[in-house]
Amino acid sequence: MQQDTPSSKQFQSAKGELLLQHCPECGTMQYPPREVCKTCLQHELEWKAVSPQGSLLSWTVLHTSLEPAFQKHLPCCIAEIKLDCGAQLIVQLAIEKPLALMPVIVEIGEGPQGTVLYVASKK
Amino acid sequence: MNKQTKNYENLVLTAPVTVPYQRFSHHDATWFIGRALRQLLDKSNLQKTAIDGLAVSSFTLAPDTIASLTEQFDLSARWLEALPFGGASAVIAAKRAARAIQNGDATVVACIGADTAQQGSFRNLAANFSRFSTNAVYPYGGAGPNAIFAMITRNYMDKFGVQAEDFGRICVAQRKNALDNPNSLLRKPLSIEDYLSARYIAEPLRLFDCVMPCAGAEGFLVMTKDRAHQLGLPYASLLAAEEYHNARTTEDIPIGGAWRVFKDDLYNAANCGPKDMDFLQTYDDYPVIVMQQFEDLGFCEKGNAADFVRSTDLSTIGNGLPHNTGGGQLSVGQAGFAGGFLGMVEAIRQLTQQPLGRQVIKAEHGLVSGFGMVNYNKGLCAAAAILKKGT
Repeated sequence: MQQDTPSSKQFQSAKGELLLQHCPECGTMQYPPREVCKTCLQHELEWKAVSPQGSLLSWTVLHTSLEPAFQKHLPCCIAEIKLDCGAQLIVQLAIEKPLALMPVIVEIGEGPQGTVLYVASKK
Repeated sequence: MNKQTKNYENLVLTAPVTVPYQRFSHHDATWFIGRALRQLLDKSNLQKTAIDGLAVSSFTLAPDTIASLTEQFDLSARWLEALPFGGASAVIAAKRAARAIQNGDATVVACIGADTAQQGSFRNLAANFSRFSTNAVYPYGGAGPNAIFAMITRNYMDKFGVQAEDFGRICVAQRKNALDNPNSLLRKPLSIEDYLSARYIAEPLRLFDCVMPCAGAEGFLVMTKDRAHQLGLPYASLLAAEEYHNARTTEDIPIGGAWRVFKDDLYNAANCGPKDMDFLQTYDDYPVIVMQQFEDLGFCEKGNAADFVRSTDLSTIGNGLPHNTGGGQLSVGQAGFAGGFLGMVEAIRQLTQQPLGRQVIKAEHGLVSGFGMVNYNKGLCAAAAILKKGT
């Protein structure tokens, strides 16, 4: 994974809060992280704690992966969720029987090879 | 939206060529592009010096570029265009080449989509497709586009009550269309039972919902009608073409694409409608996207594509709507960016009576649609063109 890009700081504060990129000029919250604000293109962005609560939009159970490190973790469940602040995140899903629009809560977890990932579970 | 769009009067598409597909190749992309270019010359009887415009779409061309290709092929050009629009590239190539010729910037443009495929190259492509996909998609299961389209498919099924069998009808019909196409990598008959009993790749997507990556090339020439007549080349006239990128939407998970934005302009410019189309070539990386094109291009209402495929014969020689008449990517294979050229080249083949597989019985008007570039969670580029048999 790349070092010192916006994505390497995207996950959480020292207090364990979920952080997303925020534009102090126009108030846009954005994900995935970018070098500039997607709305006003201002370049000095901050990281702001957001509610980790949201709802499940869709999900898939993966039976194949292009990445050798995932092979022994298959099948695994991947989802897209919408946080209450409006940002849409692709996450690992830790819910046995998912249902569209069910409330979820996002935490920081770990993928194969120690990658830091978002993990959504039942609220 | 852009009612002022100038028409493409007297601009034609001709000399459809295909470099045979292979599952893997040890050659690089310039081999496939070069072979396509040679075939375009052979087919048109043009000298290389007569080609003064080149439009190329290729994922695997790096570190080379459209500029370095001119030296690779010792070709001098007045006009070059690189097209990084995935499955929308061929329509956009035709559109921009036609405009360049109209404006006097080129006289004959070669349009080529080509890619090689090596063991592991699809993994590298998916892992490094874009900043968003590297940082925020690929780390989640390393699935590439399968995961995103699986989620789009589930959402669409839930919203409109679509069943797996409905997607299967599209895949089965396309396989039937592929059986006579010697360039199709998958030519074993496929039944709906085969489709439904295939293993899951990314639920709800099964094996035959997903295209097989491969190597290959597709190409065509754009020139004036007069030039095509002089050369004695059968051609298709370009009646209308539109493109749109990153359309605004209120949907959290897309139930359609940007075709909705330009559909009316497209048909108005061509002075015809969906009912006048003798065939349709959609971009078929996954059958859910085919259904969304049926809807967004006006062949049925939004949410009714499952009913449409239950009641419409999609086979090349049927009485319904001949669709992806050479088998589409779902049977032929997805040769990288050449996948975006497959429908366009097949459309030109049908309108000039030179198909690789079966000929559509009456082929006078055809629609070609393209879709490309899933950067994060939706496809960004949509394009479509209406072609007419040359007279």
